[in-house]
Amino acid sequence: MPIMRNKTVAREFFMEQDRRKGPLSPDLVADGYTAKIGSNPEMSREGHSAFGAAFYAGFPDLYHTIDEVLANEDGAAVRFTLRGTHTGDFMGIPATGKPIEVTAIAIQHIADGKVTSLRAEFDQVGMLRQLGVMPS
Amino acid sequence: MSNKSVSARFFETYGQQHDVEGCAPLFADDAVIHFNNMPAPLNFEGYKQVGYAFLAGFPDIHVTILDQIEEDGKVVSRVRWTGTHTGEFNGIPATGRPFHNEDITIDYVANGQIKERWTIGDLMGMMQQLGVIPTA
Repeated sequence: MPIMRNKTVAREFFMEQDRRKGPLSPDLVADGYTAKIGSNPEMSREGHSAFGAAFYAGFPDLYHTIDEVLANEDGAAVRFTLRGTHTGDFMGIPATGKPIEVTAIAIQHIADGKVTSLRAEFDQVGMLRQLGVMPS
Repeated sequence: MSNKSVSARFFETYGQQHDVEGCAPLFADDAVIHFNNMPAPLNFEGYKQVGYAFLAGFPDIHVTILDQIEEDGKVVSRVRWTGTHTGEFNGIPATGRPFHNEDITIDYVANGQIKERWTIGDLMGMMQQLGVIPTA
């Protein structure tokens, strides 16, 4: 059942980030993996792991809540919410102590149980407004 | 009309033909639209106002569907928007600058109509390209 398997992979991808505090699980990511998140430059597996780790450095209690997963035989889409508290330095923004709640949707292409590419959008402006570093 | 083509028809009608009213048959009467750029969920009337405001700021908008995945009436679409900021947009005077960004939308489709929509758009990327907020 590739559809059920793809759903499991798609969900575990983010659960593993929570367990590892950012880095991607090598068991779930294919060689040659690419990720593009918002307008940020395309990232490799290592690049995405570092990007993830920067978030958990700024928000050590960060976690994903999976709101929806849909899949076909070639991949999956995940709608999720990121929640955490800004108690560390985040990409140059000193800790504000503020909580964040940020919505996101990711599309993953999956082959043989491994994610080959990820494209995601998250509410970056909403997050910066919640931190008080961008006016509403 | 397939579920995927209901979503595709929206992007064509709004993003290529700029026909806001023409989108009405594609939404159920009680449709709920969640859009990260808006503080609260919208009904179709509210969504139309967002659509008109975007067209006023960017009269030449054009959309391209890059990817779609469907499962059981749930359709995810990743699209690229392009446009030129030649009109006032949410209080921002025209800058004359072009932008391109992507968004990801999940539509819940039943009986040929969208009953619920979740969109996460890259407002951050757009605002940076317009020079309204600095690039990180």
